[in-house]
Parts: sequence; structure tokens; C-alpha cells
Amino acid sequence: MGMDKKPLKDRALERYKKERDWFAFLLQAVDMMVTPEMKLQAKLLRILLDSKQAVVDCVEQEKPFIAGYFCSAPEIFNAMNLPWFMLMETPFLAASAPYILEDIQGAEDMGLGTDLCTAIRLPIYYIESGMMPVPTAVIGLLSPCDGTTMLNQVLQHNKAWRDVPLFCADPPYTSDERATQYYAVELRRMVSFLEQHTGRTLDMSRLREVCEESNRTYKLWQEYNELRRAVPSPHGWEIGGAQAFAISQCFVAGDPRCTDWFRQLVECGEIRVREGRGANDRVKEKIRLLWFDIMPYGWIYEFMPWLEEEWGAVIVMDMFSNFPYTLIDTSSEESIFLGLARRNLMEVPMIRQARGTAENFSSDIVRLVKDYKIDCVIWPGHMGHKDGSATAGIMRETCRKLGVPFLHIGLDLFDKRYTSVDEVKDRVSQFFTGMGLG
Amino acid sequence: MATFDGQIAAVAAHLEDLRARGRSTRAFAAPSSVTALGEGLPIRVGSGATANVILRTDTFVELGSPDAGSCAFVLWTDTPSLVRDGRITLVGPDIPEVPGGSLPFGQVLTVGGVDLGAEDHQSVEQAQFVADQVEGYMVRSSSRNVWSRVSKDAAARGFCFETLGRALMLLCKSSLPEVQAVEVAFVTSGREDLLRLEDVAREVHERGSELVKAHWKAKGFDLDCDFDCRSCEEKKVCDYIRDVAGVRKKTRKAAAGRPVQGRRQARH
Amino acid sequence: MDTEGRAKAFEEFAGAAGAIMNPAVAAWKAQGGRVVGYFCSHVPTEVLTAAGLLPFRMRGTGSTGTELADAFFSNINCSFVRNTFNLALQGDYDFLDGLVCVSSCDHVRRVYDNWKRNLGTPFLRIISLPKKVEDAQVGWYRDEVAILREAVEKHFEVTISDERLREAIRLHNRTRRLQRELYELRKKEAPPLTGAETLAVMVAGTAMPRQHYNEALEALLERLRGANGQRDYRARLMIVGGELDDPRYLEVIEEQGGLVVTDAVCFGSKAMWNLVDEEASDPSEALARYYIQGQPSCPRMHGDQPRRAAFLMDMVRDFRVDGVVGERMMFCDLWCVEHYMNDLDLKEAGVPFIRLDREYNASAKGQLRTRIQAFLETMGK
Repeated sequence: MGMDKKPLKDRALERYKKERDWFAFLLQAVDMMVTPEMKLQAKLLRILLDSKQAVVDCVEQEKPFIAGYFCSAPEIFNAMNLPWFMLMETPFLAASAPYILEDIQGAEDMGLGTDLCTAIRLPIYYIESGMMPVPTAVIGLLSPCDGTTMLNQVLQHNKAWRDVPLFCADPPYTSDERATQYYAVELRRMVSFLEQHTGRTLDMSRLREVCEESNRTYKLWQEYNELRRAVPSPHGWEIGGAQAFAISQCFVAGDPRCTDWFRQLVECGEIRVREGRGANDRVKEKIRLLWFDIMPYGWIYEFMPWLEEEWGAVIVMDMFSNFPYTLIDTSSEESIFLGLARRNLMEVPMIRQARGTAENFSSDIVRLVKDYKIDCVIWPGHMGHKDGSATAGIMRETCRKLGVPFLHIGLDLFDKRYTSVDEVKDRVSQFFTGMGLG
Repeated sequence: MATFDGQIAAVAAHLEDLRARGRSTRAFAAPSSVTALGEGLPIRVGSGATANVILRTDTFVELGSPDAGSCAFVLWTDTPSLVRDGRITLVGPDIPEVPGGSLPFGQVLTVGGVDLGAEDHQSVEQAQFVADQVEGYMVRSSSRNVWSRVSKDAAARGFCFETLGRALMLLCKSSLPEVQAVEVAFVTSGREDLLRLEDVAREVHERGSELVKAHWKAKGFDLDCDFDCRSCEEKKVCDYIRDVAGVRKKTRKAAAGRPVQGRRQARH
Repeated sequence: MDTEGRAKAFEEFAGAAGAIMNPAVAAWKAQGGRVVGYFCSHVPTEVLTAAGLLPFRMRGTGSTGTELADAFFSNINCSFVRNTFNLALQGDYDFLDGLVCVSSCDHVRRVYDNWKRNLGTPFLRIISLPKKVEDAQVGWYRDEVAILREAVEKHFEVTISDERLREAIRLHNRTRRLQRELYELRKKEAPPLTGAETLAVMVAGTAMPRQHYNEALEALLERLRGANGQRDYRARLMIVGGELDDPRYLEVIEEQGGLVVTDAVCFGSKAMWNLVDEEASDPSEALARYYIQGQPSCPRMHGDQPRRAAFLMDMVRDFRVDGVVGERMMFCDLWCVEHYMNDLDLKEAGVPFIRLDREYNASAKGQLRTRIQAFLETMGK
């Protein structure tokens, strides 16, 4: 690659800036749209851009910043005033990355198995190719899956990243009080690690403020999710679902901008519920769908609009929009850490279902189907979700007991070559037809 | 089976204690039969009774929010005489008395039936989660406890705790034929008055988990989870996909028409 | 040792490795003994031995398909897990009185969830295995070992005193020492046993009463110590990977002239290279320390890759390995990435390395032969 001769710092930033610029371009387009939902999208994009720019500034000005995850208590990062980015950011924002297929090919050429989750292969590829900004420190992740565990080890193995301090909180497999206590101690160790390696200190009163703001955000999120129980659901895949998760966990955890965004989201939703308007103003809601995984970010625009337009199938709820959270008790330092431990170990999506035993795969489906009047459940069967696919039988039985049709597809959420979009559409169409839906 | 007889007595004692300490305590007598329970209610009860969500601005009162406090559980016994069938007890303010308010909410359903046993525990427990079956009353999705809203419309029509109590009794008796007697208690007098109920709730939850484990242990299975597919009546693999679709269609048609009382809840 | 004598020496081990039920287990059960299956190298099997139980490591040996298991798993789940679970659904594991799993990999840990819902094994446990190897995790695992101990005592109505646990540790360590001695013989220019034979012996060690196995292994070592070894090979190979319990896989490799002189696989050296501290005052803590920090770890253990890499290099050096074969079960993310790193390390060290993906049932023998032949030729052997 022509980038090879540039210093690592510049090379790494080049791709990151490209992504930032793409979103800046997208924002220009979205800014011209006038609906309340589009204004919310614009706000979200601005927040995303701010967080990306913060990372760029830190690299260029040699200020501390970290790589972290949504399930590593980002409230703490915010409280310590540490800009951060997610190692797996690009695949999750894949819809905006036109080079994604090229990168996947690059990962394959590098010798990473094609059966390894694409969301893991890509960051490994970026790290090994020097296309990721090297942070001051890394907060790695050891759940929910084998892939994330191995990603951290590649970091430690890579010569350019070997000396970057890395901490991973150890996730217990159980979900009881003992596990929460243990994880709370791990989070405290994470704080000590960050203080040692970034020079920032954690002020508990600031953390309390952030958690209280987070609670305000979450209360609104909870209110919003009630709105999606309405028939028809006021919103579908485009707004309010996965974006709610992204803004509250990935970009600005415990930030007033986040609370403000949710306030407007709730207002938008309430108006639509009152007016009896569904997610799609052109097409009537016919099928209420639970998409029980991440959105197919690699081909979302080719598939999601089709679901609504072709079938009137609205994604009323998905794994990342689900709200199983308890508010953080901010009465003491101990209760704050316990609350953060509980949230990040047992409540955040994917970790909640996949980290421990399979109960949450089934209990979440039961609650969501009942509360959201779900007509059918789709488990996309992402190629990287090995444990989830080993739970497909359990999910299927759960749905059978509920009398709700269940579809397991088998695809790659990020690489449309794995199962083509047409094939997915075909499978879904057959499913809807066979089940007498729509 | 005297599984929860101790807890039944404990709840009764607690309510008496609250009364003795001067809390406003009211008792209502509801009829016993399912038909009579449904007569004269200001709102509809049954599957699909609540067509939609209750918005914040349409909320007359909120019950059991995390800030206010909530505690809800179900007790059962195979000695129906321990249960004062039709009795609804309210400790604290009633719904019409606190417009715009947010009340702490304790709800205890006590059910009795000579044929009730350990195998019924999960079904009985589900009886308190009424989903969309009480018009003008919405139980929120995301809480483990009962956190609910009463709409302004329902309140204007006279919705109160007596209404809610009768609705719960009606739903319980119509979905669980083994139930012969139902008593409901509501506590809205203060968060501190829920603390004793929370202790009982913990005991009930632990005992409930043990019951389920013991039930399956007797069959030779060692569980550490009380969710077991083998308890499902519909476990047979359905080879006929259209049959499933047909059932689904019929169910939805029925739900779209007049509310149907007495529909059996799915056992989970 | 002549061919017939050789076959006889290995007969019991090969028999135990080649089937699920073997005469030693059958005799154990006939005498009223109880058997508890387990998945994964990190299960503290000493606890089971101390309870008077026979720990039996789970395999899919003899499975001819996964039709039953496929209703619960999917085609992106590891074939080891599917084949093993298939055997269980068929009833081949009905002799188990219990099953202990750890939260090992994404595939194996879901065996627990599916087993719980579909099979009636009376005692079923999953232990929370940490993902790091620091002292805090030893502390957590010590508590998990203690919890397991209590659960075993309660269910099987036995008492596991500290002394009984120490006794079990000593017994298991004896096994480890004997197995280590077996491996030491393979350092010779002419090793007296093949890799396939070694694997059979190692697998048998997970499928027999411990005392009986130790005696049999002592007898085997007696015969092998002075035996003539094998000189007729093209290269000395090491096999690295995870789940490998089928000696026939190594037979195919060795038929091409690549003698497998050592390994770092779950049923192999990783199970026995180090010892549990027999002198520790708290045997539960000693076990926790061994299973977290002591034994060569699984790739799922974060932060331990440098130690695993060092172990690999030490093996290459000590056994004078000419080339390394990295085997991986399809859909295993752990070994996918671990081999990626192994490849880089071995390349840097100038050690030839080949990566082989496989399914549990060694069906693609032709392909395997071809690749090994090519590998040997590229090594100039």
C-alpha cells in the first residue's frame, strides 16, 4: 500500500479521518431534511462527528485518549474526560464505509480465517496494517465471545501496539450478587489503570454527575421504548432503535446532549402515537418484527427499507434497542460501581445474552414478544455469533411455546457476499408467506 | 400444600399493622364468580382491552416507579379457606385521590385452590402481569416489578383500586380454572410500608425457585434455572407450518373483535 | 519391541481412546462406581476424584453424524461439540452420573445450556472460568472450585476433606509425571513411540480410573524405556491446537513420514506439563492456581499468549522439531487467531509452520495427506 512509507501515526489517522469526513458529508445531506426524525439523525451525526474529531485532535495534539467499548462503563471514560473510540467502530458504521469489502478481503489475504467474525477480523486487519490510531491506553473486552478475547491478544502481540498499556475487566460467567461484586472490583482496577496510564484522575463527584445524567437519559429511553409498544409502532429501524443504544453507550454516555436527544425522541414518538402514525408513512404496519441481533450494518440500506416497503414489516424491537437496564444508584461510591458493574455485565446488549448461560436469550424473547405484540422473531444467525447460533434451538422452542414464528437465517451482518441480500430477502419472504404473515 | 401459608399470614399481619398505625385502610367486597366480577366495571377487561400505550400526558397516575417504589408478588395455597375470596384491601390513597401523582405500589395477589400445586407456581406467578388486558391500565415493559400507569380517560370513568382488584381477580380466575379464591391487597401509603412486603417477596421468590427445582428433581432432573421447556404442553414439533399460521390468524381475529374473557394464558 | 508386542502394549490405551465406553469404565460402573463427564482442560478434575468419582473427558469418538445435535446447534458450530452432543442425544452418554462444564469457548459452553434442556443427567454444573490469569482470577477460581466441591459433596453425598483432595492431587500429579516421562522418551533421536500412540495413551488417561491408568502407564513405560525407536521418518513435527482426541489424525500425518514428537494440544502436553502444588495449605487454592496460571493455557486466557508462545518455542527447541502443524477445528475463533500469531512467531524464528483446518470426524484424509506431503517437501525433508 502506498501509505506504508508514512509514519504510523499519520497512516493510522488517514483512514479515521476518511470515516469522519464521510459522516460530515452525510450530515450535510441529512441537515437539509426537515422531519423531526431527520433532525434527530442530524443531531446524532453531530455528536458522532464530535467524538471522532476529539480523537483526531488527541492524536494530532498528543493528548491522552483511549480505545474502549460500550460495555466497559463508558460513563467512567466520560467522567475522566477521556475521548475514546471503539476498536470495532468501522464494522458497526459499515454502512458508511464503501471500502469495507476491500478491507474484508485484506483480512482474508492476511490469513485470518473466513469463519472468524467479520467484526473481529476487520479491527485485527486495521491494527496489523497500521490503519487504526494508536491510543494512549486500551480498555479491552473479554466478552461476549471468543473473538473479542482474541482481538486483545493480537493487540499485545502486534509490535506497534505491544507497548500500549492494555486492561481488560474479567467477566464472570454467573449473574448473581457475587459476580456483580467481583466485576465492580474489576472496574475499580480499570480506573486505577486509566489513572496510571493517562494521567487523568477520576473525581467521584464528576462520576456521580455523569451517572445521574445517564439515569436521566435512561429514564427517557425507557419512556420511549414504551411508545414502541403502540400499534402501529411510531418508529422502525431508521430511528430510535439501535441509535438509542449508540448515543447512550457509544458516543456520549452520561452527557446532557444525550438526554436532550432522547427528550426529542420521546416527543417525536408521542406525536406519532397520538396521531396513530406508524413507522413508515407510505406503508401500513402489517408485521411487527423482533430482530434479535445487531442490525446488518454492511447492507442495511439494501434490506431494511425493503422489509417495510415490501412487507409492511416493522422492526419494533431489536436486541440493541431493548431496555433491560436498572438505573444506577448514585447514593454512594460503592453503589455507583455496583450499578455500573450490573449494567455492563448483565444489561448491555449482546453481553447480556451471550456472556453467560443462555437464559437471557429465551427470557428476553418472552418478555419482548408479549410486551411489544411481536408477530415473528428473526435471529439473523450472524456467522460470528457462534454461541448464539448454538442457542438457536432454545430460541426456536421459546418461540414455539409462545406461538410465534421464528426464523434463523445464517448470514454475515457486515459482509453481503456471505449470504447475498437477495437470498436473505428470499428467505424472509418465504418465511412471511409460509407463516401467513403480512 | 402449605408452601406460602406463612407468607399469607405475614402479609395479613403487615396489613393489620399498617391499619393499627393509622394508615388509611379500606376494604372492598367483590363478587366471586367470573361473570359477576366483570359486571359493572367502567373499563374492559380481557385480551387486547388496552389498544395502545398510555402516553405521559395521558397519564392520570403512575404506580410503582423506581423512584416511588414497587413490590408485587403472588401467593398461593391449596387451603382456599385461608383466602378471603373477593376481598380487596387498600392501604393508602386511592387512584382518584392523587391526580397527576406517582404512588409507591405494593400489590399482593393471594390465590387459593384445592388443586393448586408446585407445578402451577409459574402460571400463578404470571397472573400479576396483565399486559394489555385491562383497559386504561398499562404495565410498563421494562421493569421486573409492576410499574404501571392509569390513563386519564379510565380515571374519568371511575377507575380505582377496586376496579383493578376486580380485574385482576377476573383475569386470574378465568385463566387458571384451579383457582377458587382470590384476594388482592394494594399498598400505596408510602415506600417504607413496602419494606416488609419486599422481605416477603424475597422469601416467595426463593421458595418459588426451590419449588420449581424440587418439582423437576422429583422427575430426576437437576436444574439451576426455573425456565424449562419440558413443562410446555405444546412441545411437540409442529410439522404443519400452516396450522401454526392458522392458529395465529384465529387468535388475532379474536383479539381484534370484542374482548374475550376467560382466555387461557399461555403457560411458560 | 516387535510389532505384536507393541500392539499389545498399547492395546488397552488404543481401546480406550477408540471408543467411549471401555472395559475399565464398564468394570467401574459394575462395581457401583459413578462417572462424571467434563469438558475442557480447565475443569479441576481432582475434586471429582477426591469424591470417589471417575472423571471422564467428553469426546465424540465413534459419532457418525450430527443429525440430532443439529436441531440445537447450527452449521457454524464446531463439529466436536455437535458430534459429542449427538452421541449424548443417542444415549451413548447415559452412563454418566453427572457432567461438569466450564465456560470455555463459545461452542462448548452452549453444550451446557442444550444439555440442561434436553438430557436428564442428574448432576449438571457449569463453572465460571476467568478469562485472565492474574492473582485476582486465581482468587475467583478458588471460590468456584470450593463451590463445585460443595455441590459434589451435597449431590453425591460424600465428604471431600482437604486430605482427600490432596490425595487426589497427588494421584493426578503422578499421572502427569508418568505422562511427562513418556514425552521425554520422544526427545530421543529414535523415539520408541509415535505421536498417534502417544495421543492414544493421553486420551486413555481421561477415560479410565486413575489408579488403574497409572499402573498401566507404568507398565508401558517399563517396556518403552529400553525399546528400539523409530528412525524411519522424514521430519520431526509438533502438533499445536485445541481439541484433538483422534489418534487416526496423527496416523495420517505420520504415514507421510512426519513423526509427531511432541505437541501442545488439549489432550496432550497441556494437560500434564506442570504439576499442582502438593504442599499448599489450601488445596482448592492450589488447584485454582494450577488451572489458571500453572498449566499451559488455552488461547481464551487473555494475557497469556507470550507464555503460550514461549512454551511452543521451548517445545520446538527441546524436541528438535523441524516443523509445526497447527490444527484447528473449523469455526474455532480461538485457534484461528492463535495460529495467526503462531504463524508470525514461527516465521520470525525460522520454523516452518502449516495451518490445517479440519472437521471433527477425520474424513478429508486425502487432503490431509497431500498437505502434509507438500509441507514436508517445502521443509526439504
